[in-house]
Amino acid sequence: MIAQFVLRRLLGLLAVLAAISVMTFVLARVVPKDPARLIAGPRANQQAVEALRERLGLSGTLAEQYIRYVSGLLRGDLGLSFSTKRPVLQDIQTFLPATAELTIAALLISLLIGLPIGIASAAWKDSPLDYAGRFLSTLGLSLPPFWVALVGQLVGYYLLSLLPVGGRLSQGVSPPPTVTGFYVLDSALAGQWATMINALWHLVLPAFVLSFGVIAVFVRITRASMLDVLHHDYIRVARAKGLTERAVVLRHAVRNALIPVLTILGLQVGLLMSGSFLIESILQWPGLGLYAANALLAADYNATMGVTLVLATIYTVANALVDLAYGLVDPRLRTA
Amino acid sequence: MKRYLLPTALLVSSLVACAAPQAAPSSQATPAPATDRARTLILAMPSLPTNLDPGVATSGAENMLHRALYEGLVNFKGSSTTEVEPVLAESFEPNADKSVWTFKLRRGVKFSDGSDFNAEAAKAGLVRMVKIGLLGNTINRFTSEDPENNLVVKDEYTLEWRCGFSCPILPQALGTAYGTFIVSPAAMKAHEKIVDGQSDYAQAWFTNNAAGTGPYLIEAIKPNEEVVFVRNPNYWRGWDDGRQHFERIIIRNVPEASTRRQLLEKGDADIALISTVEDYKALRATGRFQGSDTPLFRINYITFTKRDVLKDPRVRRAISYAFDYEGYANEVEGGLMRRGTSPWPSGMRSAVGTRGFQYTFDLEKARALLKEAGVPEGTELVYLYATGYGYYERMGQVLQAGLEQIGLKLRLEERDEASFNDIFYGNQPIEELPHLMGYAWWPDYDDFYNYVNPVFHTRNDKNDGLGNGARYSNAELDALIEQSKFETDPVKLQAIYERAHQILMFEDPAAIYVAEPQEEILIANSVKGHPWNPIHVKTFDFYNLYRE
Repeated sequence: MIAQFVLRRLLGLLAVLAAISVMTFVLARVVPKDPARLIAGPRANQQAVEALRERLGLSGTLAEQYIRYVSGLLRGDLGLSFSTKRPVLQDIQTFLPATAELTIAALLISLLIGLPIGIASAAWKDSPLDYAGRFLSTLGLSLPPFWVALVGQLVGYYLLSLLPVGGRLSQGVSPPPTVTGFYVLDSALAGQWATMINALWHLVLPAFVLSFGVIAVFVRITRASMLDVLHHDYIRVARAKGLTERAVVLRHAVRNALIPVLTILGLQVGLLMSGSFLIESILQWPGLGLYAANALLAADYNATMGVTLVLATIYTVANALVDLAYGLVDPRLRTA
Repeated sequence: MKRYLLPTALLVSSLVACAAPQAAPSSQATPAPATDRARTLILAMPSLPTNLDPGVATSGAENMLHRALYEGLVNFKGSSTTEVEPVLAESFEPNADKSVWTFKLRRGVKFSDGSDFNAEAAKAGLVRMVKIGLLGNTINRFTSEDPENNLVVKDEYTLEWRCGFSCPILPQALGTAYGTFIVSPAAMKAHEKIVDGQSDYAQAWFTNNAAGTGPYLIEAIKPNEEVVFVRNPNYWRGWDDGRQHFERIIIRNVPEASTRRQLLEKGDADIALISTVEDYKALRATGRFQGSDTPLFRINYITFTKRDVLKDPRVRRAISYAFDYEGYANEVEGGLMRRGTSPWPSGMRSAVGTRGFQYTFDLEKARALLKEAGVPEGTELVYLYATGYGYYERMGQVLQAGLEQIGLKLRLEERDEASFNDIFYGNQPIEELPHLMGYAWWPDYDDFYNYVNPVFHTRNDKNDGLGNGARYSNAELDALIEQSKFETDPVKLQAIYERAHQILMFEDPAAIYVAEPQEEILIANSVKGHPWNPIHVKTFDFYNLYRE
């Protein structure tokens, strides 16, 4: 059963990636830009530009270029980034851990803040706590992330000197030995506690800014789901049996209320990854988002397509994992 | 009480989640920087291209990297644009007619790969520059397009440069940081690839590696984040001249303008590009930062494409009269630009100055010219500009306001830089080009030919790759440009400049020469040694910078 599910998902993933590769390739090429001219600069003559175009694999028909690209893709070659002058795969390996670390941190913060507030809002509906939770979620949904980032930096760095600006570590602090690429985790594994704290310190602002809108979503969904569950018959039965309110809420209501939260969890991963484009650019977090933003501006086709494929894969896999997690949370779905 | 336990616990858990990471930056948690801040120069720049090849990379940002790693034979002396001082050349002198220059090269200089610098190395590096073809135009002019035969190694430390014509300005041309830096031929040989029988001059290797004679070495390249240089311990000039040279230079990628300002104000950056007028003025007003008060050798201009009504020079004149030069420079740009008065920078030796024709903001004259040319009321023109540079948009808006008052409509169209370049350098026929385009140009060195040839000569038509994006063509001007290339008589040269000025400004206007901007860089007062040379745009002579 599970094997069939995984196989179906895998085939779906391949189809999605194939479609995305065609779409990004065609879109990148039909936009009237010439990266060879951009790279060569204003003082290059046409002969030099043509030579550069040849070297970058931009010569030939669109079909020839695509076949070249896909055959490279099958060998794990995503091409050369025009802007960093390195293989795109190497760039993604360099930048992905920073974005993944940021995304995971933002997701954890969102869950740690959003779920308790959502649960509390529902459990004590129309109390001051509920109003506070609802106010927070409205704020989170209405404030644009770039504004939150700029104000966060202004207050945290410029006015209060509490937080650093840009980068994953302070000047002069060496990265820990690479195990996962996550500086916080790797420095902990290496026992480099000062580095770990420094990495955490750099993570605070971007992670909080990135999580700001997602917290609001979790608060809303959790609250709505909890309110729905708390009116079910089995909750009334549980109360009638004399269980404490704490046991009713935590043991019976929360678990069932989490299913819609899980549904949006997968979607939020995608949202956080794409949100990192903006946040990383504003807060100079050296991850895949900043890399992709620069690539887009520089008409760096290969980098743009590489990042799109990676993000699509992560998004699809995250949603597949969420589907699997349904069964773990709700036993009724295991046999469905 | 019990009913409040759960909400309290939930609230506390949320607060703990909020507060936990913020607890990190205690004084103990923040490790002391391993580098001494006073001996580290930090630059905050809006982009960070990382192509280290001085023969390939053309942007100002890349040029900044190259000046840390490489050197040429000479360099401009301080803020002078005409006087040069020896660098890798110890001395240089011309023959009687100044068609041959002999460069005596410095002994005891080594490239960072350990190989020796000598005349063979200098020749190989310069030939490489020309052969790659991206930046070599600067010096190729002075080799009669045959660098292999006209750069002659006389002995181990003597290089003879044969121009093939009288070239009194050769040393000045070599003072530019574009296309004159010398790479190690040993590294080039070791890493070159032969494709179809042709050397690639090790372009792939030099993209991410460096082997020059410059004062600094690459310590780390973190794409999109920073580039770190450390002192070259074997640098030929040495580090013990009494000045506190920087041990480490960090160029940070800070795309956000407000962040660059904050970093500079907080002392976390020593040099920053400040791109808004308000920020620049506010920071200068604190007295803590130094900036330049003179314009760069650069013109921001709006090209005319000779199509539709713009075929008639009277219409181009009318449009030129409808631009509020003073208002734009002083109000819109806050006085950080000087109004344009010439087709080429007014600080150049060839500037005609007030002797030449000047436009004023005169709507009456503009209206009269339009009427004379029979241009219908409401005629629409298109102005194209690249995004990311606010001033191109502002130039368009000021022109739009002026044209509206004389009965013309101006549609502003914005493109990202790559798309804009595709049009500006593209192959479209003139009829398909926008009527007007915003652009800027600066010379490699202080020379009329070097500026005017790429921007206005017909030869650069049809995508020959230089700055004549509007495909401007005027036979008389072409002849004047060609004449200037070899002319050395100052009187005749002056006549050429004045005639060219009259053609480009009045008789057959090629553009609205809007303004000459100042450098957007600010430097902390503690950093000394930057001469604010108007040709070296957004780059630094890192060796001569020091902390006081």
